[in-house]
Amino acid sequence: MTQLLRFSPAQRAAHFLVSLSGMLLLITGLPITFSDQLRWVIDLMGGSVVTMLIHRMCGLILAFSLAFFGTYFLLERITEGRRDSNLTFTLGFFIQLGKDMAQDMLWTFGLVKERPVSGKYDWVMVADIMSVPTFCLVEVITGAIMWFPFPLLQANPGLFFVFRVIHVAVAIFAIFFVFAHATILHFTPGNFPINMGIFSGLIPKHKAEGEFPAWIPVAKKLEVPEEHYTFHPIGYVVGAIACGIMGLTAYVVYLLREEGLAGFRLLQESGAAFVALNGVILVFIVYVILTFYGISKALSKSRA
Amino acid sequence: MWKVLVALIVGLLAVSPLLIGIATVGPLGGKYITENNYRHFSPYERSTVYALVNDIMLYLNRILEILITIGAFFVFIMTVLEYWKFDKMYKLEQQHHGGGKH
Repeated sequence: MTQLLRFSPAQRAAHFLVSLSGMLLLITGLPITFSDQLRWVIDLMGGSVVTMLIHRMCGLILAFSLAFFGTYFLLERITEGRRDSNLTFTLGFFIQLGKDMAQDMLWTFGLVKERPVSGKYDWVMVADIMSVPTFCLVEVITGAIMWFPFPLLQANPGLFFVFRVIHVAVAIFAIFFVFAHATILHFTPGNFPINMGIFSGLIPKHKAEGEFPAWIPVAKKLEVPEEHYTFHPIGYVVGAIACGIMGLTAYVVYLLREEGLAGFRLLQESGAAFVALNGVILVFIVYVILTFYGISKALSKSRA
Repeated sequence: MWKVLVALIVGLLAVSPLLIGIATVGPLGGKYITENNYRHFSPYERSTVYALVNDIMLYLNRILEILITIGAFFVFIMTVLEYWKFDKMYKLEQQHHGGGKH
C-alpha cells in the first residue's frame, strides 16, 4: 500500500522534544500555581527542589529546541523553498484559512456538501504551527526573566509579578491547546489510540485523500506496508473524558475570572476544579508515556 | 549539514545567557539571592514602584481574564466540533474504502 511522507525527521524530532518538554513543564509548573489542588505532584516527585530543577531543565530544552529548529526550518525554507508545503505568510493565505474554517464547520453541521480542499496543512494545523512557537517564545522569555530577574528588573523588582502573570496565563491556555491537539489528532476515530504519523512521518494515501486532497499530487510517495487499523469504540469514551476534562478546566478559568485572577491562584474550594486540574495532570502523564511509546515504536519499525 | 551546524550555534547562543546565569548567579554561583532587591529602595521610591506595578497588574488582569476565558471556551467548543468532524470523516472514509488499512 502507498504511504506518503508527511513529516521530515527534523519535524518529528522537533515535535518530540517540544511536546515532551512542554508537557513536563506543565506537569511541574501547574502545581506551583494550583498548589491547593496539585500539591501531591510536588510531594510525589520529591519536593519543590526536584520539580523546579526538572521545570528549569525542560525550560532549557524548550528554549534550545525553539532556537535550533526555528533556525533550521528557516534555513530550509530559504534554501529549498516551500517544497510540498502550502504554508505561506501572505494575507490571502490567512483569509483563505478563515474561509476554510467556516466551510469546515458548515460541512460538519451538514450545511454544505464539500469540505475545503486542503493542502498539506489545513487551517487547524496552521493554527498549531503558528501558535506553538509563539506560546513557547513567550514562556521561554518570561520564564528566563523569572529565573534570573536581576539585573533586568533592578529598576522595578515588582515587575516580576507582571511576567509571572503572563507566564501562568499562557501556561493555562497551553492546557487547552495540548488537550485540543491531542484529542483531535490522536483520540478521534481513524487515529485512536495514537496517530503514528508524527512519529513515523508517514500517512496512508487513502487517509490523506480525505484530509489533505490538494497535497497528494506533490507529496512524496513510498511503498511501505500499512498496519491494519480498526477503531475501537472505547475511543469515544476516551474522547469524551478528554473533552469533559477540558470543559471542567474551562470552568476553572471561569472561576479564576470570577476572583479577578488573584495572581492565578484559585482561592475558593471547588470539587470541579479539583477534578479538572488533577485530570489534566493525569492525562498529561498519559501523554508523556504515549510520546515515548510512539517514538520507540517508530524507531523499532524503521530499524526493521 | 551546514544548516544543522548553523542551527546548533544559534541554539547554543540562545540558551547561553541561561547557562551563564546558572554558572554565575544560580546555585552553582553560590549567590542566588542577589543584593539588588527592594531593600535598596527608599520608602518613597518603593511606594512609587509598587504603585506602578499595581496599575500595570490591574490592566493586565482585565485583559488576560477576558482573553483566557474566551480562549478557553472557544478551544473547548472547537475541540468538540472537531471531534465530531473527524468522526464524520472517518465514517465517510469507511464507506469509500471499506475499513481498509491504516
